[in-house]
Formats: sequence, structure tokens, C-alpha cells
Amino acid sequence: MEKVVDPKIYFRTAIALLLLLAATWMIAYINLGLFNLIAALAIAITKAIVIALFFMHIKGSSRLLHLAAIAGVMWLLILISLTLSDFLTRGWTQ
Amino acid sequence: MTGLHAIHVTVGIGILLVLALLAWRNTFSNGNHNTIEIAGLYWHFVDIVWCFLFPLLYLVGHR
Repeated sequence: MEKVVDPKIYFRTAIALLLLLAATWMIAYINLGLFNLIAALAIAITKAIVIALFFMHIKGSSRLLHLAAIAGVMWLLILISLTLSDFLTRGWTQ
Repeated sequence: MTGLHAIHVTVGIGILLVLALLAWRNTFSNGNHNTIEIAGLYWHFVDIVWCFLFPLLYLVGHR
């Protein structure tokens, strides 16, 4: 059984996510070129980690669950890199 | 991608409605809350997808 989590943690997590959303939104109005994409993805990754740790109870769970979660992320990265390695190298067909 | 996400959200709302019905019938207790835990995992998975989709679809490359 997992530990009982204080409801305050959920409110704080939600507020942190709303602040990160505001940050994404404001950065989108500044023209930074390629850095716009990098900043948006960096904030999205931060939000995903916050959600996984607090909403999905990864923080405070067993090491086996940590391993399972990391394995899921690694598999997703393999799928994305295989897809992109095809998609991004198709310029020669034109 | 938005369409696929919409399907996930619709399924999630359905799951939340079932959870609300079960909670209304006093199904859950200190020892019986795995259903809520798993439904929460699914809902937050959809949540994480939206964290990436929202800026990519609506913010990046629209200036």
C-alpha cells in the first residue's frame, strides 16, 4: 500500500502547474526563434515530471515502480527517435 | 493528434463519471481504493500528453 498523501500537496502541485502554464504562454509571445520550441518542450518536460511525481504518486512509491516508470519513458523515447529518424531524413525524396 | 487526444479525454470523462457513481454508492473505503488510483493514473497520463500537445499545437510556430 502506498503512503497517505496530504491533500495540500495536490493543491500546491496544481498551482505549480498553473504557474508553468503561464510561463509557457508568456514565452510564446516573445520571438526567440528556435529557442521558443526548446523552451516550450523544457517546460512541458518539467510539467510531466511534476505530474508523475506528485499526481501519479511516483514520489514515495517503491523502487520497482520507479524502474517501471523509467522503462516506460525509455520505450517512448525509442519510438519517438525511430519515428523522427525516418521523418527527418526524408528530404532527399524531393 | 487533437482528435486522438479528444477520444482519450472522452474515455477519461466516462471513467470519472463511473467513479463518481461508485463513490455516490459508498463503494470506496480505506481498504478499497485501487479503482480510484488506477483511474487517476490514466487521467494524469492524458494530462501529461496535453502538457506536450498544447504548446506544440497552439503556441510554437504561430508567430
